[in-house]
Amino acid sequence: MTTVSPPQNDNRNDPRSARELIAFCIGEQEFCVDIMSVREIRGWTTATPLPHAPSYVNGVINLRGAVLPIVDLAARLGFPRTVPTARSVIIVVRVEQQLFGLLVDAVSDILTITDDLLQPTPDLASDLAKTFVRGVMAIEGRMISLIATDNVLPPFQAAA
Amino acid sequence: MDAMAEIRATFFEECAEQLADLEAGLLAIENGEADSDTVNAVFRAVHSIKGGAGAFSLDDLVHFAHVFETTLDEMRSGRLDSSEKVLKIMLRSADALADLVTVARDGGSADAERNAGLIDELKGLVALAKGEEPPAPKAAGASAPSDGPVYDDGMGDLDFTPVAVDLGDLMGIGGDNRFRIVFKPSPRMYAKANEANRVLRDVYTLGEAKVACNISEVPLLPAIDPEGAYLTFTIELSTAESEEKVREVFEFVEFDCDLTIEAVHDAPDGEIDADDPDIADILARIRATPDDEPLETPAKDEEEPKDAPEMREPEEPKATAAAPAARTPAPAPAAPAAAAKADAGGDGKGGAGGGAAQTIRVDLERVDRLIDLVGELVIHQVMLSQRAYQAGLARASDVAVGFDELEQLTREIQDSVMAIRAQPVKSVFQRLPRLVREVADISGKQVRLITEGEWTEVDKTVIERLADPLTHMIRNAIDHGLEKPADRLAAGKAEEGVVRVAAMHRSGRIVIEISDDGAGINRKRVKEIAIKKGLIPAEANLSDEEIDNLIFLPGFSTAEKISSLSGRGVGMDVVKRSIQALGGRVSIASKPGRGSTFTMSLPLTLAVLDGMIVSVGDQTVVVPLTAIIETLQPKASEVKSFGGDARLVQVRDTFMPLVDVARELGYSYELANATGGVAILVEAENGARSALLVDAIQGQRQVVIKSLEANYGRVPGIAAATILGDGRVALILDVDAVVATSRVEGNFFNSGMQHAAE
Repeated sequence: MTTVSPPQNDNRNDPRSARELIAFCIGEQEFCVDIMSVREIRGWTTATPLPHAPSYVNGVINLRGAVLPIVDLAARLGFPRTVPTARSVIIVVRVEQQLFGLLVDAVSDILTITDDLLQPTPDLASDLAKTFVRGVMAIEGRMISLIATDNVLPPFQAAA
Repeated sequence: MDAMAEIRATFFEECAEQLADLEAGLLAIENGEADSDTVNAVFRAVHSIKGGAGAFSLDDLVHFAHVFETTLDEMRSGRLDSSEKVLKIMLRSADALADLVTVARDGGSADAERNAGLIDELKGLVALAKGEEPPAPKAAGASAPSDGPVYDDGMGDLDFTPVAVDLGDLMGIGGDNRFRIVFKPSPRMYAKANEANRVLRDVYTLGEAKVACNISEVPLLPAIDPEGAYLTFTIELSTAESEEKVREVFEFVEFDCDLTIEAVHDAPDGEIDADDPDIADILARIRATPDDEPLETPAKDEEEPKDAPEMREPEEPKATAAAPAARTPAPAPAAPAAAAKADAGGDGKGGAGGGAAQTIRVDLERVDRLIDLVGELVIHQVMLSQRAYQAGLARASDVAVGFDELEQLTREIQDSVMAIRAQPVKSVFQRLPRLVREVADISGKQVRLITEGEWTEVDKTVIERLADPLTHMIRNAIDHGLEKPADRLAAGKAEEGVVRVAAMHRSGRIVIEISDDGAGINRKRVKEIAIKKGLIPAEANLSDEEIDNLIFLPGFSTAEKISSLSGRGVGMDVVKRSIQALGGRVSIASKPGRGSTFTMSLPLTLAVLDGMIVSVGDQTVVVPLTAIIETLQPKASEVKSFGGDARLVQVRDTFMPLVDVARELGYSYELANATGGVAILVEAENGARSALLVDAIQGQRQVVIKSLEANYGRVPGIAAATILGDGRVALILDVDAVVATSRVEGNFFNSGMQHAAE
């Protein structure tokens, strides 16, 4: 269990300046999220399923007293559901005031990139995937997709 | 500027409290439950508003509050009887005052004509109290000096009578006017917590003024009466304002001083000795003192006799008498005793009349943080002791005893912390009498409001969001529920309708009932309208309860003609939605000719819940204990199939629906074997009983409610979540919702309701 503390100097205002991303694997594919939205990374614990929840919501876990929903990112992107194992990883992200966990297979890397490395999402991707993939980048021969975390949670009419 | 805005916000917050006190006090007087403290509290409330408003130059508010206060003072001194007529005027004035506060806060305009009328009525009461002929009501516009009195910060007992000013003469003057003002305060003025200094400062705001102070009357120190007044001020004022304006400055002190104001048409003579170093000193200090800061400088020399009378007169021994001074920035060093008492009075804003509790204002976030942390503490304490026992700790060991004590302590901490956020619903209920008065006036009905359970405590956030739906439902009850007086008489009822609002705790929730003794729901008409509007099929066969619930459907409004009250396009569906947004429910019960009762039930968020921990499938679920009547193990002979998948269970003589919880929550798709499980008998808010089928009961425990909404959203059938001793999340069942949805399936009516609710 690793806790990632966000970098002290946030110099993202400069488009040319580097930003840091956390890369992770879902199956054979690599994705990444902005490190600034990541609160911590922790191991898998059994989630309590929620009734009437979409299939990509695994349920909720106890994060030091807070009830944390877990989203199976693979299922959210339209891939087959992840079968959580003891080695699975939960990336805890914050979007506005809400905290939730992304279930992924493993965290692979911390990348430092500049925005000009980011290419638009290719047309091949499914509509669902395109909703969440902000762009792709090639790093050392690997293709890594940048995930926008904003709309990962299911939409609620009564804004929670 | 921000600091100012903050002070302003605080002022309006306090105003709200004062207005509540004011109204509560007046109602107490009306009901004959008042003592002298109540009258004092009422007086104090108005006085404090006036004082604060003065600091923000809210002239209209100050003026109205001043007249109101003057009238109240007559009542306080016993010269004015608290007759019904008087109280009616007072209550309306309280409403007007509340409006003025709202206008001052949010902008907009007050009903100037009504306010002017009220001012006349209030002045009439004063005159009456003094045994004078009440002045003939003047034309609304002219009676209220539009500018109001100039800055006043906490002046006490005043006998205010309108000043007759001949406007015609003054209009002609204009331009650069010169006045010679001789102002000799009497001891009475100081006794009423007025200060010459302030008056003089106000004179300075009018134009160029030279003040001379005649100290010749000040006796030698041994002869000084500390509460006497010995100074005479002569002011040479050069101003563009009219004499009327100048007089306004002295409006509040006029009767407690010798005052002459004369217009000087030639150049001022050299009488004023502005070069006198003492005078210059005073002037410098007058100019230097910021308006709302107390004069910290200790009294010295010739100021002494002036400040000394700030100490209250000996014949006013009651602490309440100090209250008017509470808001006055009194020179504290000069009157330490008075200041101490004044502080006590100032804190009394929380409670009407006596029992002044000490309060502090704390940022809500801090409290929430504390509550979260204490919740964590409880969970960890439970986990720790469970693990210790698992590791083989003997129950009788010293450590175990320590754990027990720790547990008690943490529970106590938790209770105390929870109590911080909980507030009685009184703060909402207090606004109701006014609402009822207004609605009753407009609709031409006679209404008596009865409130019960106003001390029922609920979380602050719930209280804040309670007001709107409650307001709407009460409006509805009066406008639609109650009949016109004539119709009531014809139906053999008292002319005066009764609207009852009661709050209580039930099923771990707060339940608020709004009932009227009106005609009840006209089911025939409701059904007709629903059919006409296409909300239900024409051939629908609905139970009475279902018909009653039609009024919650969007697009339904029984009002055939839109009234100015209820028919604002805001129907009961909006009420229902806003209650649901709070995690609450609303239901209705109606008896033709006897009236209707709306019941809304809201969660006590953040509260601790006593729950029964049950197993459902491989999950652990918490059922709120308060909803549970009994548990039983159904025998095969007691479970009856009832069309399709529905089952009933026989409990003694009655049949009730058996709700398969695992299936309702989507944990399982097959019907559970009824005989293998446990049936929990629950009572829903509407009194209907059902049996919840679960696999096993694990035990009973107090659990901390954790919000699912914070990080996720509302989950149907689930009220909240909690964290069990093993650190896992368990869901808390929303009994009513589970029972309700179990009945929905296949029923067009309920599925329509479901749809509407989403």
